[in-house]
Amino acid sequence: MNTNRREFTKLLGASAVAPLAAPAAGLTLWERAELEVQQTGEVSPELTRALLDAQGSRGIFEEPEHFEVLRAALARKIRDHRILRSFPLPADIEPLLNFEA
Amino acid sequence: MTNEDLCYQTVGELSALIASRQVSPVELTRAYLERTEALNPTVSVVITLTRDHALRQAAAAEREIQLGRRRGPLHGIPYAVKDLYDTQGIRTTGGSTIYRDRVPDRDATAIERLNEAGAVLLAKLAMSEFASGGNNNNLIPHPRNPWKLDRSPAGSSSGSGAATAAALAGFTLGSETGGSIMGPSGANGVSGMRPTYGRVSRYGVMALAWSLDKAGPLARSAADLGLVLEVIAGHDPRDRTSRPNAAFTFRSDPGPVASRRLGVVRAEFEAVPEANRAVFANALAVLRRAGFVLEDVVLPDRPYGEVYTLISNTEAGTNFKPLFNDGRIIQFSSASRRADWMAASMMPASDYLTALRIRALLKREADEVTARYAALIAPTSPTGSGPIEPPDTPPRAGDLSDRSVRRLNTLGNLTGLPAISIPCGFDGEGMPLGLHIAARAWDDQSVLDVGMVFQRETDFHRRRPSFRP
Repeated sequence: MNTNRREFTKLLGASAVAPLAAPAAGLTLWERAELEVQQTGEVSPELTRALLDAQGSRGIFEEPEHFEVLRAALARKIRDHRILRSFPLPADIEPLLNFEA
Repeated sequence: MTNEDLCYQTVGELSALIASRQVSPVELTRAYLERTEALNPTVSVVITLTRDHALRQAAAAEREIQLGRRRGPLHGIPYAVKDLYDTQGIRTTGGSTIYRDRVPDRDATAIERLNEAGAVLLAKLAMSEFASGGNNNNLIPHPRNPWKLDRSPAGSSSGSGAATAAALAGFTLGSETGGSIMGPSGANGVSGMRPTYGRVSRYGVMALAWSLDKAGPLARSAADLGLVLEVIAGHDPRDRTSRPNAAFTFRSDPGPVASRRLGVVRAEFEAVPEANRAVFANALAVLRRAGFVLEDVVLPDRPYGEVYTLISNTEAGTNFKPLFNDGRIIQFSSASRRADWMAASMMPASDYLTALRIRALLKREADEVTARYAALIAPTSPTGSGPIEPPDTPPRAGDLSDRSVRRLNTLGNLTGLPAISIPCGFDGEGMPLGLHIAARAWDDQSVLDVGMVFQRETDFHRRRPSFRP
């Protein structure tokens, strides 16, 4: 599905996912997804679609069967990312952008 | 000597037979082709048999050797490669139906170097699709473990591990992103090596995750790994990650052992099920008796698995984006892996950078701990290989893919350390168990030294699989 900027903005508005509408205000899509995983253990279909559209075409994930596998994968990723984000890193550590052994 | 005995010789032994004209490259190539044609229906490890190509290369090697122009120890030695090394004019599939008919117009650098050394390419081998690990496979019937045919040869270099164990080639090449040489080496009871990241060019090797992919050999002894590494290592300007100091000169004498210190990653030995503990205790006893000084080592508690998964999935998701865009990814055999790649490519860039920052910390810690020892030791896997299960089956506890158990493996892959897996015994069902030996970056010789000493004292690497159902 192709989405222009105006449609995308509307989509975000529409995807003010009902149960999370109030706490989700002002958050990015990814932050909303994190909030959903924290509260419900999964990412809602609406928000998954919004994230999918933000990265480009939906492709095979338009199909319900593949879409559900993606939704589960997203929840796993978000849990992993929370672990990494909360890992205490010394301030002087820079990312290994150009990895060399 | 029977054909089977001939095929089970090490590269060093085959090389001596060729040098002394007791066996010719054509005879040897025919022996391996005959064995492959007889056994492949049972083990299912070959994607493409390069019979005519092999016989041409063998004949050329034979002529040169007869004229006294022997190029080195691999001249006339038949080998096979995981089907992600590009081979000019010979299809290279990445183990995927998506590339079923892909025929490259170039050789990978490793193949070029083996051509220059006079080695003979016999076959392109089975692998987990796109080197993604596990039993992800739909191009050919699933490869089988020669030690027990209902068991997995592990992945992703499944064909390389099983073909080496079944003696379908003198040696094989595999590749590793997170354990894909070490795992199959342990599961199939062969010796396998993950060289230091940057040692062997990946030019012409199908990518999975750029900052993690390594190319390396599998063989029937640690010394053979050194012989092959010397040929395939070296700087290659066509691979940006190849280092100027990448050349490797193999020393077949491990030198004096006394007082060389080995760090034993005790927590990984303690994670071994009770039934297999005696095997690993014996392996450590062998090293101690040989003269090594063994000391326990604790690897810091870090989110190794999460860092690895985030980096590899993000890079793979980006790498395979064109297949997502045009829909061909539907043919990929694992629905969950495919979804992991897409999900990772949807995340904020700051998370990838956070993972790279933790990786920098791990690199610092790995440099510190490996500097204190000739090598670090752990089980390759706490258990023998399990049944062949369909893609997307969750891993068993202690499984080869369980990164919480295999901390040294994940640390080594994230920080580019060299490592080998060598056979060190069998579990209660007769499945091989492997010993993981890792060292500081660029000290590839050290892991080979420990492996050669171990294999001087034991004969596990000489055992042959029974191909039982």
